[in-house]
Amino acid sequence: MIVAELKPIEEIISTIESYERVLIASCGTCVTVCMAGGEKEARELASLLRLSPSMENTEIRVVNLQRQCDREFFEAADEDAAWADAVLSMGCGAGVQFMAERYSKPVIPALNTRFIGVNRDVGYWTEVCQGCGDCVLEKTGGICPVARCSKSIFNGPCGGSSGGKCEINPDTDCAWQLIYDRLKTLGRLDRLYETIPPRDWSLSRDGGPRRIRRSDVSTEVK
Amino acid sequence: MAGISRLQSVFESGGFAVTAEIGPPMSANASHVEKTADILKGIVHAANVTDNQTSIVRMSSIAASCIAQSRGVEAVMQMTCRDRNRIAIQSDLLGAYALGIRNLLCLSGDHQSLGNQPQSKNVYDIDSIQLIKAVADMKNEGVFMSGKKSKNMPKFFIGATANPFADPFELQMIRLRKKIDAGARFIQTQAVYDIGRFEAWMKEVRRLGLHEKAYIQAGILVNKSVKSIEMTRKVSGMQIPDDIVERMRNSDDAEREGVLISLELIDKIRKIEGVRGIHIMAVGWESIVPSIVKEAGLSAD
Amino acid sequence: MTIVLAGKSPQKARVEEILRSEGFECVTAASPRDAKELSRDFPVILLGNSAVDLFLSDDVFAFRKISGLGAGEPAVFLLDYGSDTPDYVLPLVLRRAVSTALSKRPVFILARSVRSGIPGVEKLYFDARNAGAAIIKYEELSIQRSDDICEISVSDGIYRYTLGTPLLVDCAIEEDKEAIEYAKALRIHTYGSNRINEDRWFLSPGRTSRRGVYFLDTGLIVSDRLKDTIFSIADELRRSPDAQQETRAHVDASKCAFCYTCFRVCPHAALEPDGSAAAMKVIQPLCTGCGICAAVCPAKAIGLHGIGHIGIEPGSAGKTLAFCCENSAAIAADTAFRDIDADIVRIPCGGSLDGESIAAALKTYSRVIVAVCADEACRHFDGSVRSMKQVEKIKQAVGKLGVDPGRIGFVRVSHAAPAVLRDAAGR
Repeated sequence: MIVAELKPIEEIISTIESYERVLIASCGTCVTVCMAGGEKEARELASLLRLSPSMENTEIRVVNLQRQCDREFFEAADEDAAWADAVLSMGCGAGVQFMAERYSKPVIPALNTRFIGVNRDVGYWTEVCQGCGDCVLEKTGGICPVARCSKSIFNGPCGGSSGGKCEINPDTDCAWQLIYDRLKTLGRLDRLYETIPPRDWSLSRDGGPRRIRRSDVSTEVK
Repeated sequence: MAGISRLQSVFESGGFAVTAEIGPPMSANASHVEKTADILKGIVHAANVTDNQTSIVRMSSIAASCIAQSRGVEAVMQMTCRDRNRIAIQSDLLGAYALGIRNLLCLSGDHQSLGNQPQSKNVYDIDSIQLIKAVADMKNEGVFMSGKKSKNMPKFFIGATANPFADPFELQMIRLRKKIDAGARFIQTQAVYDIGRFEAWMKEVRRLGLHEKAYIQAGILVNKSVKSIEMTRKVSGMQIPDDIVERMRNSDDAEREGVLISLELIDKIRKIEGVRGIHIMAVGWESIVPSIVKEAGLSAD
Repeated sequence: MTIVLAGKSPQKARVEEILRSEGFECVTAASPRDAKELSRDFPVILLGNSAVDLFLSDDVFAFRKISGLGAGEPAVFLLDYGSDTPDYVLPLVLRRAVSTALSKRPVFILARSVRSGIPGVEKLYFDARNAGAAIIKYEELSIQRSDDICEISVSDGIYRYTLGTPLLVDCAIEEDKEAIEYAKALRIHTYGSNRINEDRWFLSPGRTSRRGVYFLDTGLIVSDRLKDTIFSIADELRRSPDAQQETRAHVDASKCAFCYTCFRVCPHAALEPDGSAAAMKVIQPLCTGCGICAAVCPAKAIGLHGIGHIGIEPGSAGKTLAFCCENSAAIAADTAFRDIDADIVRIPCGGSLDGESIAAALKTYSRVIVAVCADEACRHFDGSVRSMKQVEKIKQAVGKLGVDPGRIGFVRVSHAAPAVLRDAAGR
């Protein structure tokens, strides 16, 4: 799922303090699960903002949306959005932008969207996918060299792998060590002998903003 | 087109190659490179010119290599994958060859977070093995990475690095093989301090016949002081036997001790079957290289 | 009535016999997974068999051994743990050390590594020292055994001591690993996942964090106590279930994001997925109404019956609001706040308090106190720790807003110590 984190409160205040009516819109899907922008976080943020002297002249309302990436869910916020001078969206970057398209008001992000990741334990998420658009997990025993190797090396490891850890940080696992261990467990070390050729990055964000259109479900597209 | 590089001919004629390093300055000062080149001229067969090592901005390897060659020292240009995409890499390779550079060492490159501009974007369009293959394809097939053929393509003598002390052993061997299969013809190793482990690595290299497919050069790092050797150990996680560190600690003349240690290591390394040269890294102390080469009884002639 | 027996123990047959004599039918779980399934419908007794020196677990045995000591011969307890001695070992050892010392025998406790300041154990250390036991944290140790006597040479890094004793008690506990597997499947609280938590003062012998699941470590319980414990469990099971508490949790399935957080944090394993609703639901008989799930739920999908949103009345500046855990501070508050003008909000557990409530209170009150049980006294295991983290979080946040974080106070109190609470409120 998408994993995000609340921006520092000082930063949030600096972006909304000049408005008189701010609507905080939480999102009930990814950011709720990663405890960054759900109803609980929205209400806690509101109660903190109301304590700030810089926010004395700002009235705050909170609305809770199921999702911010499908337009029908916004209907629940329309009325409050009309009232507001600005909307503070607690959705991921997608939600913020989608809200901004709908409302002709400043829509401000409360979160920094970080990565596509998994929940390893209560309160602990790690990045595992970069949305690179050309998945090679089959070759690497299910461990992503793009997202989990600091250098996105396809024929790793590099010379900086030491003790199973990456040179950039002793807490970061070397992805290629993990790949090696996994392929060994699976009895498929032969995969490591295959040289993976240079990647076509045009399938990633490098090729420009991407889109998907399904002609089989849409009657708008022939 | 000139013939093969001096370094390549030394290897191919059965000689024992000696190379050193030139670290370009953090400035546009050409004379720094010239001075270092002058120290090494006639002493070594070639000198590596590093490429923004540890992700700190320095004069580019291609420029510094040209300066070195203009002083009569053959360069081994280093190219990392960290800062350039494949377009820039291939473009630089055309330029480097046109300027007379003949040896190329291909590396992944230290991650930018280790340097002084960690905010920079992480390129790594291709990795070091893909780079080696691309350079080899230019040489052997006369093609760019796009598949487009062209005339007058660079024909570099391609090198790569290896770490005999990293784990897991098996994985590092796989990587070495892949580099050689991709086209690497000479291999420079991480600095050797632990002869026993190096011998074990060479044994496996020989078993796989890799020493016959590529020329192995052992790395020697010359330490000037106790602080230097302790930094080496800590920073790179290099395996340095305690007795060597103790020797540096206990000696009255650390510089001399550092030289003696290097000489002893060189002496032992030369006797190992399959080792075809040494690569001397005298960190910030290039001036010591001539005396080491001389005392080791090596020569660049 | 049927009881499920899980785990292995040489005492299993005896346990079954006692249960049958009490009128229960016994069924054995074939695996942890099986035990988990059966636990939905039947009470479970998990048997473990940790191995520990009889001197520690068996009072009669200990008495005999002590009586056999010659004049001046010491009893020596050896805690040779490489990393810190596990917390649950210490009460066992210290209690025995105290009783041995009180019988006028010299006692030495030799420990390689012991953390200081472990709640609940400090008093036992104190008692042990008072009774004359010598506690030595050693760096080097060597033991030579000849016939019945152990010659021990031990150094604490400064001094070296030599002791000779016929009674050297090795306090290593060999834990029953299989029991831990069952414990995980049955979702009962464990100490750092290698020891089933049974040492809390509020847990009667054999009880665990989950109602209806019991744990008997037959390696550590002496036979008489084993029988008594089983009788008490049998009594409990025979009694009709408690009348429905008012404060039980309920999940609003329409809001639930199905993130499994409540499932993981519930100390009593009282939440489970409701397949048809794609949401969590509360297992009412197991729910104690502690409210930890409600506080932690990121979708605010869980409510407590009988407790609405913690409503803050508009207070006046100068007033204090105290969030008081009903198990400790709320009881002490009656006395503590006799002459302090403070408003009290009773909460079922420190863990039920969320950051929003603290921040909201700060809007209208000049001082907000969070008063909860001591960490090891929390009936819900980590409720007090959770409340501390929420307080820390809000203090940090308000500090960045230019609001004085000193306006928020956090205090751990016992119901019997109103003075502590009064001091915290008064500051």
